[in-house]
Amino acid sequence: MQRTALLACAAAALAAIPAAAEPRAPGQTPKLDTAEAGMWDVFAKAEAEAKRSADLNADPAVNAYVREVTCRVAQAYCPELRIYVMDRPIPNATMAPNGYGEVWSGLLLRAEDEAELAFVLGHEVTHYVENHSIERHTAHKNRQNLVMALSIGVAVGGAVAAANTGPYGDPGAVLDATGSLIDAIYLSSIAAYFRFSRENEVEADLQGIRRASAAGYRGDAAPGSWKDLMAETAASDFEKVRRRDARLGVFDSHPLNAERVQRLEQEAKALPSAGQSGRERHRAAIRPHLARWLKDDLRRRDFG
Amino acid sequence: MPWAARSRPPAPASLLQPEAQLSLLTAGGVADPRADWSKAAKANLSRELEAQLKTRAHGLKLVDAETAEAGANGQLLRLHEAVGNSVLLFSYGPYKLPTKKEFDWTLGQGAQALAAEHQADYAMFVQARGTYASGARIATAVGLSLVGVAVPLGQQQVFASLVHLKTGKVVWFNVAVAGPQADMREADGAASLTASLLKDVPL
Repeated sequence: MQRTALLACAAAALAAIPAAAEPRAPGQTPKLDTAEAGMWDVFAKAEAEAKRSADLNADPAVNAYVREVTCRVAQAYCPELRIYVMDRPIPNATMAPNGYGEVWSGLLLRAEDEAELAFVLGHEVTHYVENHSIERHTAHKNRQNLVMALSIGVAVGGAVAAANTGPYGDPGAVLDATGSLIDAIYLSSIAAYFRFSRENEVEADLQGIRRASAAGYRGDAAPGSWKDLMAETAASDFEKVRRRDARLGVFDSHPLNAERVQRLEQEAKALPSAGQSGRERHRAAIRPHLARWLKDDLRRRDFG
Repeated sequence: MPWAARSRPPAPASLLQPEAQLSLLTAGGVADPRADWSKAAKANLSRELEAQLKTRAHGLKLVDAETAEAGANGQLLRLHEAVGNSVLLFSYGPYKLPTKKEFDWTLGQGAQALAAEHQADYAMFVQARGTYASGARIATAVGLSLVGVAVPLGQQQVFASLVHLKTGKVVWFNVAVAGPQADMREADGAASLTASLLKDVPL
C-alpha cells in the first residue's frame, strides 16, 4: 500500500515539472560557467563541422535567399542566427541553442513557395527564441534528479533497491552519460539536444505561423506544408515509412498529426487572410539546384 | 597500459592542439557541459604537453587545430578522430573486435600529406573527456552507499596517440585516467596528468 502511494506520488511529481521560461533577449549570450554556455561550446564544434561538410551548399545566392527569409521572420534576432543550406534529400530544418541552424535541400525542394519556407523557419526561430533546447535539458535534469531523490526514498524505506530505477531513465540520459566518455557517441548525443517536447513543438508551430504572418506571408502556408508532408509519408513506396507517422526531419520526436494541423488551421483563420506567397521568388532561388536535388531525391528510391 | 611499437622515432614531430570536453555530473546523472572548464583544460594541457614534449622531441611544433582542420588535410584529422575513438573503444574499452588480434590501427598512406604539410615525421593527437560530480551528486552517492547502492561519480580521462606520418600507423597510444591530484582544470593537475600520459612515449 505504502509502495503504491509512493509510486503515485512519484508519477504526480514527475508530471508536474514545469518547463516554461522567458524568451531570450536579442543578442543575449550565456555566462561562461553555465550549462547553456557549455551547450554553445558543443554546438560551436558541430557548426565548424557543418561549415566544412561536403553537404554544405556553397552557392551564395541560395544561402542569401534563406538568410533573407530567416531575417524577415526572426526580426531582432536576425544578426545572431546562422543558417546553412545543406544538400541532403530529406525535408529537415534544425536550430541549435547557439543560433546555428540548417535547412536541408529536401525541404527547399518540397516547399511550394517562400511562405511555406518562412513558416518552417519561423518554427525553428521559435525553438531558439524560446530557449527550447536549454529548457528541455533543464527539465530532463530536474526529472532525473527527482527520480534519483525518489529512488533514495525507496531504498531507505527498504521497499525496493534503487538499482533498477537508476539515473538512466531514457535513452537520452544514457547518451548524456556515455557521451562524455566516448567521442563517437558524443557526436550522436547532439541529436539528444534536438529532441523537443510536444509542448515545445506546439509553441514553435503557433509562433512560427504568427512570425511568418507578421512578416507578410500568407497564413495558410503553415497547415499546407505539414499536410503535404503527411501525404507524402502516407504515399511512400515502403510499408515501413507508411506505417510511421510523418515527422519533420530526423531529429523530430513528435509526429505531424491531424491535431497539429488542426491547431494551425485554427490559428491561420485568426490571421489576416491575404498575404504574400513568394512562389516565383522561391522557384527562382532553387532553380539552379533543381537538377541535382531531384537526382539526390531519386537516390532515396521512394517514388510514392 | 600504453601500447608502443618497438622502433624509437628519431624525427621531428607535430603536436596537434589538444581537444577537451568537460561536464558537470548533476545529482540525477545528467551532464551539464561546461565551456569554462573545457577552455581551461585545453589551455593547461596544451601548455604542459608542449613543455614536456620539447625536452624529448626535436623540432616539436604546436599546430593550431582550427587552421589544420580547414584544408583538405583536415579530413585526415577527422579520420584520426574516428580511429582514435575506435582504439579507445575496442583496444581499451569494454568491447573487443573478435578478428582484431594485433594493434595495427592506421590512418593509411594518405597521412603522408600531413607529413608534407607540417614537415614532421610524427604527429601527436590528444583528447580529453570527462565529468566532475556536483556536490549534490557526491552527497547522493554517500547517502546511497549507506544502503549499499553504488552511484558512479565523475571521471576524467585523456588519451594520446602518436602517428607515424610516413606510413599512417598509430605507433603509440595511451590513456590516462585522472586521479585526485590530476585535475586538468588546474595548472598543477594538468602537469601531473600530462606526465602520466606521456610516461612511456617513444619520443
